[in-house]
Amino acid sequence: MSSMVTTVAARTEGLRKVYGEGDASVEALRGVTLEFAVAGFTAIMGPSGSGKSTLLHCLAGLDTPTEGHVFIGDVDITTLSERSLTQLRRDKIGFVFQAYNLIPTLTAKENITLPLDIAGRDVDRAWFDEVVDTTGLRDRLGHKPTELSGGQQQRVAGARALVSRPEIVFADEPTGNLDSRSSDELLTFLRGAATDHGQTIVMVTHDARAASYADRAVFLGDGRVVDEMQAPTAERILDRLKSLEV
Amino acid sequence: MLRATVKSLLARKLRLVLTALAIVLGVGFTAGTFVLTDTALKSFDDLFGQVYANTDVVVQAHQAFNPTEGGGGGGGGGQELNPIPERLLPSVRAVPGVRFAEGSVQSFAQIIDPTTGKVIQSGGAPTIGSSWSPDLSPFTLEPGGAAPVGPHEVVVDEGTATGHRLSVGEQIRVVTTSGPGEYTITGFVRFGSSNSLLGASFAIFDLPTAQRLFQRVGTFDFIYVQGDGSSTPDQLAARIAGVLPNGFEAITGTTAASQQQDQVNRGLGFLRTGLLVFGFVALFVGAFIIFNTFNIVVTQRSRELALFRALGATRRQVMTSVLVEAAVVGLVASVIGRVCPWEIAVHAARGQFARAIVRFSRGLVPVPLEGRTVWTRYYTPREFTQIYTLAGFRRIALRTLGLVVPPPYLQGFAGRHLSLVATLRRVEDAVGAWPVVRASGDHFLIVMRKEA
Repeated sequence: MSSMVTTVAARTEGLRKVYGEGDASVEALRGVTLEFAVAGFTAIMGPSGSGKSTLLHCLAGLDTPTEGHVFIGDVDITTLSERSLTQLRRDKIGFVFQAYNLIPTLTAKENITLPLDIAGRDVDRAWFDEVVDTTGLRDRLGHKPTELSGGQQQRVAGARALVSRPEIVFADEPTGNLDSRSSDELLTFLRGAATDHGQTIVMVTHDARAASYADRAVFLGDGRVVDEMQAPTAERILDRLKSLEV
Repeated sequence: MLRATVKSLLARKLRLVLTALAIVLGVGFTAGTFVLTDTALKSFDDLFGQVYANTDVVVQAHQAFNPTEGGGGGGGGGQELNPIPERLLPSVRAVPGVRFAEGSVQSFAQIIDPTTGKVIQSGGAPTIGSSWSPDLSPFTLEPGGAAPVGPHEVVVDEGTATGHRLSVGEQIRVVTTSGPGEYTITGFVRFGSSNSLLGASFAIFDLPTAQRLFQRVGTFDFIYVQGDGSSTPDQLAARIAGVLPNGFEAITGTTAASQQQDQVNRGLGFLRTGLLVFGFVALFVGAFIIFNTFNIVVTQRSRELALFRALGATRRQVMTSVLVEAAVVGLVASVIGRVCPWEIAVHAARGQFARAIVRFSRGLVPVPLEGRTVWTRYYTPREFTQIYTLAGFRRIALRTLGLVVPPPYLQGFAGRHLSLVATLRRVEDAVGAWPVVRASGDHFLIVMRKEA
């Protein structure tokens, strides 16, 4: 499956995740093995309950798998201590949430640099400027999240994910709360980050149009990888999804 | 990270103030209860020391051990001892070393409030009737008053007088064992330094009137003796005991005080326990309020804190963030504006809420002080500095005095908790000059230099 990939940013091996115990247990992931190439933009698709979000959370170290392994670079994060995992999240992973999750009391600029503040690292001015200019937020930097539109807020969240130059950015339904124009702006921004800056991105979405911005679409169904598609277009994805749901 | 915490705090000023207020209340309630407990018990302890301050020796009927005899001075205002025949007084006076010896009778006497027509009695405190002792009285007459003379004059304690707006020259009704009677007030008395004796009301008549009213004609309850200084109270007591018939004893004033104190303490055992229970309840409630408040704050912030964690904040960073908020709230709670925490606690505990927050007022305010009203103005250090800056002074140092250390009027409390006060003093030494902290407290030390 991965013979052509020269460098792997992240991969999973036989990932299983079971919620609850006994009769009430639900198996969200039933053995997922995947690889994500460096500088690749991957969309993970699938119907509700197919395990998309669980996979993303396990990949990002926000949730612990029941079985299997997750590697970020060469590091198996399932064996990491709480402390090392926190450090890994801080230094190597960027996150974009559906609900933006900006700190309402901080300005856009402060929100973007928050991961660096937390890590206690200095802001790389040149990179910060580049990220900000790509998102087109230059004149909104002094505003609080409540003074920004949804699209602008999500672009702030995108800039926040990128500013610490993580090895991999995870985006969980980033366009879920956005109108189509704002979605396009955000997706163009993510696409550009992958193409121009070699940023590895894994995005969970159920929106075929959003997935069409990616290099590759992975389809999940009932906790398993059921298919994947290189250079997807919206039409092909929709067709594939229809066949999955039947 | 710290910036995020501080900004989050500042963005929710109302929450900050309200949590601070909750903590002020919790701490104030707790501190207030303990101070009140302590003050009340101390007052009882001091009581009899003051009663016998001028008295070296007390002659009284021999006290058989009587465990049922609880509250000395309670209700009737004196134990029912065998009366001392008047004829013993000249023999006591004749003992070498005696300067004064005076007979005294005590009983109950209820003063009727002229406006309401009801018996004056505050919170179950005793209503005491006593004879006036010109030389050995524990009472001091207020200026403008005169000692009671003859069958129609009475002196009352100042606490009762101010509480019920009595005035010198006024006619009042007093009920004694001989029934009600009309008397003219000739003066008010203070009791040592205080204007009232723990809320007890006192009606004081001259000795013959008191003997007649209390049905002790020809007898005394006590003979109070003051020595001329040529012998110790113990020696004097021994000599006086020599002239007394069987059934009477002469004890030193100190012994009499401690005997009565013991009785009162036995009677007050329940009060001690009760107040202690209140103290613990207050401690629990205070702790609960504070715990609950922070619980709510953390719950409110949980989303934000979870985000911090997702962005790579360590547990320690999140914990620090919560603790910083707690510390800031605690600091604000302890030093909101013109605040003297002890003053607020002491007065709030006594139910004097207006007095507790008197410092918050600007301009001239009336401040009740030991039963009198003093018009005063609470300058903040900033106002003070401004005034003097105009006069050409420059402030070179400012620190608070009596912010966490109890102020001087709680000397008694401080004296009984030396190690606590020593700790508080170290705290105050360390933080007394910090900004914000230095602008609150009971007193301030402001050093200024006159500019050339």
